[in-house]
Amino acid sequence: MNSIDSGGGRITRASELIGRPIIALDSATQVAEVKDVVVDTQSAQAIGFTLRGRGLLAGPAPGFLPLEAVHAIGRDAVMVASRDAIGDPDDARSARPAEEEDLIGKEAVSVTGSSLGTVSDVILEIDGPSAAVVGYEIAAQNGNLVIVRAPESAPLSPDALVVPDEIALGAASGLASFRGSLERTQS
Amino acid sequence: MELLLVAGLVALIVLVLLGLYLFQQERRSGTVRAVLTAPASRDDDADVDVES
Repeated sequence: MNSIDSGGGRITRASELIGRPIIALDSATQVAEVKDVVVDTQSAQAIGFTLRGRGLLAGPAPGFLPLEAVHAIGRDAVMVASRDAIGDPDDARSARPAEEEDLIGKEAVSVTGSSLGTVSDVILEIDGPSAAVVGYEIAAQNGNLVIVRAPESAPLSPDALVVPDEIALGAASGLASFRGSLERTQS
Repeated sequence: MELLLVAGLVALIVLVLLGLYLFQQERRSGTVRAVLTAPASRDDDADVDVES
């Protein structure tokens, strides 16, 4: 199951957005594709996408698409108002965060110093153009994949992602059970 | 001699195709990236009481 509708929005893995076409509303043309999803673990929000051109002979990646310039993140495409939303590559680069790293494979460590495993994906709750980080999929040391609830703020360094101890208590084994635990918490 | 030339051409074509494949694989790859948390800046001018 790739994504699930919940009361607040659509729950999906961030990796599902990779390769999704970016379509301009005014011309109905595909202007780029999503290459990377960029999130901020401190604010628990997705902040934008790095891009790549489409097709074998596409030019260099146009740059960075901040979420403020997105009209909607749909099931099959990311919609922007026009090609101008992507803007000039040089301007786009300046809007991209200066210091970012690959989150996949990063060690998740609790505040009391226990390793929970490595981050294998990020769970997003998508509502129109916004995407909140609501969970982390963790590959535990025993090989199991579990989804834990994302805290409101999780510091990230080149070494590790630091999360509260209590998030391990509500670990779910899949998106469906994670949505259930999320809804129970919200109600 | 001709056989050597043909073998060289075939090897060249294979190398070009392999390069294109690897280039495409690299282009297709994507990931989830995250902003690093800025370390709290040290205030070197902060008043520090030092008991002598």
